[in-house]
Amino acid sequence: MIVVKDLVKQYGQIRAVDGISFDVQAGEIFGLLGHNGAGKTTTIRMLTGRARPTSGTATIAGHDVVSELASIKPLINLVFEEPNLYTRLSGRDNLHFFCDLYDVPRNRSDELLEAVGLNDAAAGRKVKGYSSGMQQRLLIARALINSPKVLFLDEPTRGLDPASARDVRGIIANLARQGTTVFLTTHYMEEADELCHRIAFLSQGAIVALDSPRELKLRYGQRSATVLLENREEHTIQLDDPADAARLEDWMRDGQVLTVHSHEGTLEDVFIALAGRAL
Amino acid sequence: MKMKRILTIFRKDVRDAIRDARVLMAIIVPFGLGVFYNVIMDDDEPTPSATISWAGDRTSQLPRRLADATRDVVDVTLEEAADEATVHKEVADESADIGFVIPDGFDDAVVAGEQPELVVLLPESPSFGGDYIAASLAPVLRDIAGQVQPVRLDVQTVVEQESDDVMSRLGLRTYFVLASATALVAMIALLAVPVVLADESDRKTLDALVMVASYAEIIVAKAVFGFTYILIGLPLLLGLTGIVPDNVALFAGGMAAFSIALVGFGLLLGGLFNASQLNTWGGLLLLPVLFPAFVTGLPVPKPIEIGALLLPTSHATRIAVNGISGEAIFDNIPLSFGVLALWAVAGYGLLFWRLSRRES
Repeated sequence: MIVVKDLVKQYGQIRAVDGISFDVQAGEIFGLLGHNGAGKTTTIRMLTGRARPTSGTATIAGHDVVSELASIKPLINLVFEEPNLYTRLSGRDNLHFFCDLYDVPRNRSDELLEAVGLNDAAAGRKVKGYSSGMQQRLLIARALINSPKVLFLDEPTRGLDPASARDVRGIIANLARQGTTVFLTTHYMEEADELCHRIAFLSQGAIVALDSPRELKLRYGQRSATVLLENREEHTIQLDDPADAARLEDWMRDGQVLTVHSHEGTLEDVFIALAGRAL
Repeated sequence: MKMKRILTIFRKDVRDAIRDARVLMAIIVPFGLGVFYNVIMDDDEPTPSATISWAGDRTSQLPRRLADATRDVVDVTLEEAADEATVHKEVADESADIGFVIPDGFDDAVVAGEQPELVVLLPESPSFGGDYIAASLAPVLRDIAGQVQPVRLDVQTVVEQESDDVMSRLGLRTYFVLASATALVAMIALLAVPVVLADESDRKTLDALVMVASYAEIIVAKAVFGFTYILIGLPLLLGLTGIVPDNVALFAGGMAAFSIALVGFGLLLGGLFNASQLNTWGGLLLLPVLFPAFVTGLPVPKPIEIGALLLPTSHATRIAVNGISGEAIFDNIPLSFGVLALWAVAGYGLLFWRLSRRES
């Protein structure tokens, strides 16, 4: 659905995006992770036609993002990082406005308000009275007006309380189940781990790793375990170390082992291993 | 470019902007000024007036004959007072410009050559009307006495040489209402329009719009928003003030060219500055655009005249003055249209350059 080849974006002397290549399959949730300034938002800006690549190509559903932008616009939408809503208008009026722009019947807004859990009373209120969670739900509803084949989400749960963030993640997972291709950027490793089929780590504009969360964790995480013995001693053993394997075998044979906890690596570990510091 | 999208954005702007105090101020202030000038100013020079207070012989023809003799120059009001003290009081408090106390049998005594005493009361600082009536007294009395005037006066009105001063030729009221109309266009184009665009940019709603519409569609919608407010405000101001251009086509053409040029610059300002900068500096930016509306055609120092001629407002005012008066008060109107066209090309050129930078 999305094919990116050697995409570069240069601002003066600064190379914000440095020759990235990847593809995203239809119905996949693809995560782009990285520090602030790593190039995530610039990548989204180029893929959504709001910034012109310095070099390289990107296509969505076979259409070039520069030369065929008009063909791409009906196929995509974006949930912005900032709550860029018309605050003097009601939630419903915000959606009606975009329904008119997309030439979609206005009753589509009622379906979407229900889908994102904004009730009738809330929809009739001016947006300036909305909580962050309500604004985020409305942003998602707005981005779904044109039933996009590809939905971009830029930090969709940033600043939300845990309950609202969980709801938003539920909505995103649902969209993917219904066949929407989801491209999201996030700071939250757990979120990426929970939602994404594949993840690309972006560091200083370049992709430093790209795979499924499990494969990344296996490849870059530590293969170790903590063993608790009957005498209450705790030992950390490396699963790849033959000496540690022999020790574990001895403890098991002697019946000293109470518990064994494997240390599966986290995406945070992967990122630290790749980028040298945590997000 | 899709007309439906342009109209959708335009309708939203009209609805959203009317709730914005800054936009409302940009429309109401010049509108209010125009109506204010219309009420307090007059195009024609007023006729001097005088009130004659008199008491005494009610049969005397003197008051009426004086009024008849001076009517062409002074708008005379006759007030018969109860007694001499009342005449004194009215002249003293300046409710009358001149007072007479006419003794009984005055007219007959004049005819008989008895030289009756006529008390004439003038305030310490007489008005023009009072002085004029006092000066007319002797010939009127001679007339009552049946005497032949020593000369036959042939007073002829000489047409004044027409002043080049636009304010004199248009009239104060029309001149200032026209300046307010120009200010209305300038404030909508350079305050309301940029505020609407800068707000979209500040709140990042512009990014959401760009996901569905092109920059060109958004810009055209904002321009239509500005033109619509001008199209409503300008005729409404002229209608309320009762000013009808003699040459409607020329006036409308000038104002249309002016609006197109300024709205381009307004959109450019909205693309260059954020709403807070516009709030702070918008008024200052308006000054050079507004001041030519108040000096065009007036006797001002040469450097100011030349400076003003570089600005679009001067040329819009020159066209509008000719359109309002129906006379060729200013010459070379095609040049004025040319200057406005140049400003429009510069404004929209810079605007699209700015937008192309935003896209890259």
